[in-house]
Parts: sequence; C-alpha cells; structure tokens
Amino acid sequence: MWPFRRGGGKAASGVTLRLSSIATALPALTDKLELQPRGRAGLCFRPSSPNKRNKLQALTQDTVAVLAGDALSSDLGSPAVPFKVEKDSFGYLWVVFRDASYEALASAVIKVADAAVRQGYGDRLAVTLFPFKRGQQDVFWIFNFASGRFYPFVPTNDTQRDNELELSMARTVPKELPIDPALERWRGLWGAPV
Amino acid sequence: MVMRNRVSRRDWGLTFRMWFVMATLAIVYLAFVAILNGLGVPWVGVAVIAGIMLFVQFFFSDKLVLWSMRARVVKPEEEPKLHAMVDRLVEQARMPKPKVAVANSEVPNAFATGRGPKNAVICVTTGIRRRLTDEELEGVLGHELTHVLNRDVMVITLASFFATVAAMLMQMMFWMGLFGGMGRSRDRDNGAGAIMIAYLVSVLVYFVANLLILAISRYREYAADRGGAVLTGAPSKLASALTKISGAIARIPTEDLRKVEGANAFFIVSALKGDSLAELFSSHPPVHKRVERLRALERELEGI
Repeated sequence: MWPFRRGGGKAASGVTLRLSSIATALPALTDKLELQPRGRAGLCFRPSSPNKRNKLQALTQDTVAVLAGDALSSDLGSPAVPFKVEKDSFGYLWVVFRDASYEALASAVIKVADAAVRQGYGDRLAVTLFPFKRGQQDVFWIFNFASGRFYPFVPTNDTQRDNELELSMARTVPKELPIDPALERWRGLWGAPV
Repeated sequence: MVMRNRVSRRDWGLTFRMWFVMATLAIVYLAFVAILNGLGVPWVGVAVIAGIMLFVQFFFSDKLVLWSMRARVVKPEEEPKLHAMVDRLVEQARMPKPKVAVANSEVPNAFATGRGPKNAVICVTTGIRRRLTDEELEGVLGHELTHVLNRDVMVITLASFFATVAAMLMQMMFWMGLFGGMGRSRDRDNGAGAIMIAYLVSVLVYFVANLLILAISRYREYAADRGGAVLTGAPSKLASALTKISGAIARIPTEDLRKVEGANAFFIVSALKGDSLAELFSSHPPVHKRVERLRALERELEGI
C-alpha cells in the first residue's frame, strides 16, 4: 500500500532527515516526557521481501552482519558504533546498536539502512526501534520505514500496550518528531531484542 | 436477525456485516413473499410460510450472528479467566450463565445474542480483551449480561418481526388495491411491474420501521450501561472501557507488526473510520453521552 519510493542507490533524504530527528528531539523527550535514553537502537529487517518479484535471497544473520559492518567501517571519520545481529522468534533480523549518543545511533541506523537500500534490500527494512525508560516502564519510539514516520509503543505485558500513554506521548512532541498520523499503522513489536 | 447489543458503535466493518446480513435476509424474505403472491398463492399460505421462516430465524439467529462475526463458543478450560468473570457476574445477577464466545478480531467489541437468558451467548473480540483491563472488561460483560436479562435481543427481534409484518401488509394492501381497482386485462400487461412496485414499497416500509427500532435500541443501551454499572458497582470502569474502545484508541492495532506481516496481510489498515451517518443509523447512543450518564450514576452510587 505504501510502496517504497526509494529506488536503487538514490539517497532517501526525506526519510533520513525524519529518522535523524530522534537525535534533535532528545531534549524534548527527556524534559517533556521524562524519558531516559537507553543508548540503544534496533534496526529491524523482515526475513523475506513483500515483493514477490524481488529475487534476492532471504537475508541471514551473517549477511546482515557483513552489510552492517561494511556500512559502518567505510566511514573512517567517525567512531564505529558497536552492534550485534540477532534473530527474533518471528524470524526478523535485528541490528542492535549501542552508543550513548542518539546522533551516533541515528547516523549508524541511516548508514546501514542506506547500504541495505543500495544492495537492493530496501523492502526488507521494517522499523527502527529506539528504547527508553520512563521510570520503570519500557517505552519505545518506533520509526516505520514504510511511512517514514515515528510512533510510540508502550508495552505493558506480553500482549497489551498502554494506548493512553502512547497517545499522550504523541500529543506532547508533535513538533519535535514526525509522528505517523495514521493510528492504524501504530503496530507494536513485543519482546524485540533491543 | 438481530444482534444490536454491542457495546461499541464504532466498528463500521462489523456494523456493515450486520447490516448486510440483516438487509439481505429482509430483501430475500420480502422478494420471496412478493413472488409467492405474484404466483397466486393465497395469503393464508404466504402467512404460514412466513411464520415458518420467522421461526427458523428466531431459533437460529444466535448461530447466524456468531457465524457472521466469525465467533467461536469457548469452554471454561480454554478461557478460564473470561469464564470466571462471567461466573462471578451471573451469580451476582442471579441469572443462568450464558455461553461464552470469542471472536478473533482486532476490532474492540462485545455483544450478546440469543432468545432469552436461558440460551444466550455473550461474545467478546480478541481486540477488546487486549485493550481493556480486567475491571473494564467486567463492566462490558455486565453491560452485555444486562442486555440478556432485559431480553433485549427478543424485544428487538419481535420489533423487527413487526417491521416485516408491516412491510408485508403494505404489500398486501397494494395488491388488493391493484386487483380491486383495475380490470383483469390490464393486470396481465402490468404483472411484472406491479410485483416490482409492491416489492419496493415493502422494502421502504421495512427500512423506515428499522430506523424506529434503532431509536428504541439506543434507549436500551442506556439501560444496559446502567445495569452493567450497578452489577459491577463500578460505573467509572465501564465509562473508561467505552472511552477506550471508541475514539482514537480503537484505531491503534493490537497485533504485533511481525505477526501481521507474516500472515501475508501486508500493511493492512483496518477500516474503522467514518461516523457521519452514525446518529441516524446507529443502534447505540454517542459514547460521550453514555459516559456522562455513567459519571452521574457513579456520583449517585457514592451518595448512597
């Protein structure tokens, strides 16, 4: 329904810009929403392409690790962001980055995402997950590559989520983060390895 | 064919299904009567056949409803928590325990169906269970059980039956007027057209009668809200449940992104929008009015 508008090696400047707004929004997220950054981000790949005509092989943990390693090491000017690759119970692959700086996290995600797009894996990019703590509560900002927008996700147990808190989070930082206005797309991701 | 006792009025997908099933039944029903009559079957015969059809409808409507909602009756072993909740409430209300069903749908909803307290079914969707806390779900179950106690399904079924009868009477009167007023020779030319007009008139009567039934049904919703709130002793919980399953929260999906994508339903957007004709075609009053009344009831209960 939302086809990828990014083709081949063309940089997705709009998506990139919107994704990096997590870094600029950080002061507002900590002040207004009392979110404590956890210094991690997870880039999530779907195991197979939604497009039946895409003949590229299914991604494996190894290919994703190579892809992410190459994308991050090619840039010698900035310090490398450590990462690991994990597979969840749905078969989705996660590149989990660790860095204290959200700017570094966002730029690492963008580099790996761009590399994936360049190699034809653009339609495997599902979401990026930015985990936070709000008191004892786990809170996430999810960036959806299909919509190019953020939405909040607050799981309260294995199947439930706190919709009220999510809506109030979205209402609190409408200027700082590009929020997905279609609530129907705010799909949760429970138990992500981030 | 009635199943208006839903707790929410927001889910247009399900509302559409219900209307579709009801309207199809009514149209088939009335077409059948028109054709029988057109074939020259006497009115007594038509009435007997209509009676049999009503009987079938009356006794199978619950199954039809469960089928149209893709709901499944669950045993206590399958859903111990849900059954325990219903057990507590029926004991409180001193009523027989209805069957408990679950519909696999992300749309937050609950409904009751069946002829009376002895053969009722109450059903909740997986979507409503994910969204509500236990106390809120209890309020919703209380609301549905009150519908069962008040025999609302029966009342509305009978009202619908009278609507159908009224439509049939209109059809009959039209035919009588036609045969009484005109010569035989002209009837032969106009036979097909007359069947068509008689049919359309009866459909129209049926439609108008249904709007009236919806108005009655909205009043019974207030009664069920009140009953459910008193049964659980927590009007505010039902109020917060209603708020949760209407408005913005109802639009936020409950299933995991990866599960939905894995089911090949790529980027599905549930059709939960549109509220324009809600007032006229809604069997339920607006949620904010229901919440207001529940708040008032809460103050009343605290005062005692």
